Amino acid sequence: MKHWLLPLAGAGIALLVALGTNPAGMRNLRFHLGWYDRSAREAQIGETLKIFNRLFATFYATGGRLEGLNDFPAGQMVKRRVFQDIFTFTEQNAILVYDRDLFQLKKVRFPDPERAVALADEVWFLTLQESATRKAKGPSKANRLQVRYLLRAEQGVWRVVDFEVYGPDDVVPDALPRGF
Amino acid sequence: MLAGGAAAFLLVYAILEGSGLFRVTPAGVRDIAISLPFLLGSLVLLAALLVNGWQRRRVGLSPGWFSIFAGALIVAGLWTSHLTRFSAEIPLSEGQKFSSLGQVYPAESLLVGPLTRQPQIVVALKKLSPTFATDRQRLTSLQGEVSFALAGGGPRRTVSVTDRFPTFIAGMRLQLRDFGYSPRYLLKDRSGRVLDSAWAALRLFPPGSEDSFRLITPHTFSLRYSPAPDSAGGKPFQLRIVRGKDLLFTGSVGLGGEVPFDNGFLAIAEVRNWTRLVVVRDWGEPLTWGGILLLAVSGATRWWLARKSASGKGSTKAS
Repeated sequence: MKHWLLPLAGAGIALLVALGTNPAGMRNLRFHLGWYDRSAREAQIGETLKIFNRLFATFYATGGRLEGLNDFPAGQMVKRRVFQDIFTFTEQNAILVYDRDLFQLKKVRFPDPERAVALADEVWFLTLQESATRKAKGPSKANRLQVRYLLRAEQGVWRVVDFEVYGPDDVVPDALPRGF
Repeated sequence: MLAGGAAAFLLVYAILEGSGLFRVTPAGVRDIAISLPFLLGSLVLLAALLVNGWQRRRVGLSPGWFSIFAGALIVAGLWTSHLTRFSAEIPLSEGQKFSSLGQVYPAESLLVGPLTRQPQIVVALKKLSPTFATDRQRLTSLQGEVSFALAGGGPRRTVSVTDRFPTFIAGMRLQLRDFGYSPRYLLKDRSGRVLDSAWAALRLFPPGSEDSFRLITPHTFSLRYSPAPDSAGGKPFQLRIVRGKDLLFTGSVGLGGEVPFDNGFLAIAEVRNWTRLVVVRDWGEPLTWGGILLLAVSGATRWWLARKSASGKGSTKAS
């Protein structure tokens, strides 16, 4: 047997084992080598955030009706936080209506194959209404914001696992929060 | 020949995992060394070296038992680590205590082998002394006084723990990692009654860093902190309170200053330092390091003997 054959076999087995023990190993390899369609990924993020914001506003406007919850591209903690907030308004016989005026995606970056960070400029008009009559409880408040969305891909589906709200002129930190 | 194959396997596997080509993020040296493929590969390598040594002995060559014994120690150490290692990182503010009897080790940093029994300990951070670079943007060293006892009895001892060198106590290795400021918040209702108060260990170092915490209400409280006494006119905190996508408050706050929001107030009463206490109990480590040391000694001895023998031959020829 040639003396280099066994080391070569060992290296080959190592390659197969490394590939086999890492789920989505080929996807990760393509990402690290830059062999992926970045614009398609960004479009996926844009679409995910569009659905997220549409359903976010719908849940608030309906006082927490669960219709569409399965389509809400959000992690469990975000879902819990949103509905906890909605129910505190419900307890006060109120509904907070989010009316979106502007959503502009400014920047998307991908720290690794399973995470994305998106920064958007947003303007929302917020109106507190009585639940029963839908009468406004006060004037609408214009909320100009920067929102940093933290997303994770779970089995190929992007979900918002957290979102951070900043003022329109705030400096948004580059560092990612712990646990993300 | 089989040894060459096994060595190539270990080398290529370690490079692939360490570079993270197939992974989401690269694996650390320790994670690679105690992973099952690496351990199995190292067993094959050891077996091949044993067979090789035996064959060399039969034809009258030096089998290199010393190196093989060192290799066996390393492999035994790695397997012991894989099966019985315990490691956890406990965030502690100055004056804070942690007891594994009443509290659980933080899950995000917990590493437990399949045969591990978690150690029951009571630790408290009495004092934390950070040393900063002149611009106060960088930490140069961290030293803490930690009170340590095994839960359920046993003497309580106060030991000095640093971020550089480990402190050994009761078969465990203690070290500090990370540094931040831990504000104590007060959540009050409209009448001024305190509803909730606790220390929030936040990553607020270096100055300008931002971190956030959430409480029983649906609000998010984000803070930046500049500890210089004259910062922002005695208001060292930049606070932002958000509910859903409603920005309720943004501005500077001083110690004790109350910020009204929705149906209550938030105040920051005091600030302390915090760090993470790394607790490791790994009986495989002494075996592994002992093996590595033996291997180094054996390699150096062989090299020295070979050099001596070569120079002896050279001088014989010259004479």
